[in-house]
Amino acid sequence: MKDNNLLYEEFEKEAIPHMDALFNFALRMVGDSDDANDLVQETYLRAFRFWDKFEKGTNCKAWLFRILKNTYINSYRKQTKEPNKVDYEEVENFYENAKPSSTDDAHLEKEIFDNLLDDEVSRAISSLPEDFRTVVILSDIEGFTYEEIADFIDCPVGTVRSRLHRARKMLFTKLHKYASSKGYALNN
Amino acid sequence: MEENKINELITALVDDELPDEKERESVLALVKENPEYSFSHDVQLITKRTVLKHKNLVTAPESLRRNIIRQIKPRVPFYQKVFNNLFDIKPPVYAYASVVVIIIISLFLITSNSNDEQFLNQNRNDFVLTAKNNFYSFMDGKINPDILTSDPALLKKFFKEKGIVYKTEVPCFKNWVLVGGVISSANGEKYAHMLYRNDEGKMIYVFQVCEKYLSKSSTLYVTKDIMDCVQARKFFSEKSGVTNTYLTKHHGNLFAIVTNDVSQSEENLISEFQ
Repeated sequence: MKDNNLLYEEFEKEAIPHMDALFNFALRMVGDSDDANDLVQETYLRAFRFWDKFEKGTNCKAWLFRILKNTYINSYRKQTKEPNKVDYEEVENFYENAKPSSTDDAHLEKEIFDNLLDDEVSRAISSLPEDFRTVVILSDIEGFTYEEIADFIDCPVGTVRSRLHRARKMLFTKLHKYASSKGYALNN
Repeated sequence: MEENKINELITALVDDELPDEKERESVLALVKENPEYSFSHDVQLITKRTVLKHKNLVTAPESLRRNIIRQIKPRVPFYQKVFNNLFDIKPPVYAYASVVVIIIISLFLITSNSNDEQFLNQNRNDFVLTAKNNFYSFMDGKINPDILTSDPALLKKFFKEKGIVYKTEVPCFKNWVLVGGVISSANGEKYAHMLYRNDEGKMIYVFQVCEKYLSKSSTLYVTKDIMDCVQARKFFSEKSGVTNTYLTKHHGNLFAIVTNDVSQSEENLISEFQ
């Protein structure tokens, strides 16, 4: 068995630097900084307890995220208020209507999304159902690969791809609505 | 190919997750030729870029970082450091050093109440989570009992004499032996902790606090769902596979009980309080 000091030194070097990423993910999952604090703290205490089981050379960040997910499922999910369900039919309708007039990438981006605020984007992400929110955060913010996300959510890679596709469509719809309310919108 | 499937492959294309060169080329061709797929590609790409651009990341609070490190960093007991150094000293100096060391250790033992920092920080602490952390601190040898006794009456007396103002109870669990107790303090309040062991070397740790200490101004709190569970079922339990944790209430005191004997029945642990 390894010496406690050695374990701590390795843990400090490998695991502690991912605290910001874990905190940001926790914050988006529980929506409250006190709960995010508790969630990250419990995650790190558990991770340290099992640090001798961590396979060196593998992805420490992904390992920590998995522990955080399990902690979240066990202790926090029931307390967290799930956002209102997204009406996916509404998303599809909006999306279909937007199609004909919107084929220019640069135009789309400039006209609609450049003027959004950080808070508006954060709010739109937070309003996604948990399964969809998770894949967007892990892929677009944390930069995990499909395989890592699949491992994280215990689903095949095909499910990750499908959820990500739908999640971005939902987000696009929401962001477009924010932009429209500010007067930036496509002529559709 | 089915439309949905193509759209999902377009998502994979945007994320550079199409390792098969042929598949990648065919999806790219569809995006170039078909306006609908081109739009789908743009939506995925723009949304991804927007999320990345506005990701609005924050830094984890410094207090959180400190708190975690404080709880996991191994501590070398003061007397151990002294003894380690002692063996490097040659005989003549050794004799003088021994006297100094004995004096220092005596002072240390007399004034020692250094467990406090291990138990609670000055912020608000989740009672159940704190109990679990304390249990592991005992297991790791980071906290040692202030008093070693198997006599419940003596331990109660110790708690009272050392300044715990609420009336403590020292439960007796069937087939478990009381090992001793610890007193911790935070923000001027003192708390009672008890330890038990069985023949297999497993441990029970009990953190006892007067319910009124868990008011809003206190250092400790219990989440509403757990408290509701205690009110409704008389106890709350959480089983992780490695440890079992229980919370129960008796005579105005709350008891958090943590054990690594996961085969231990709830009845045995909780019946003591009913």
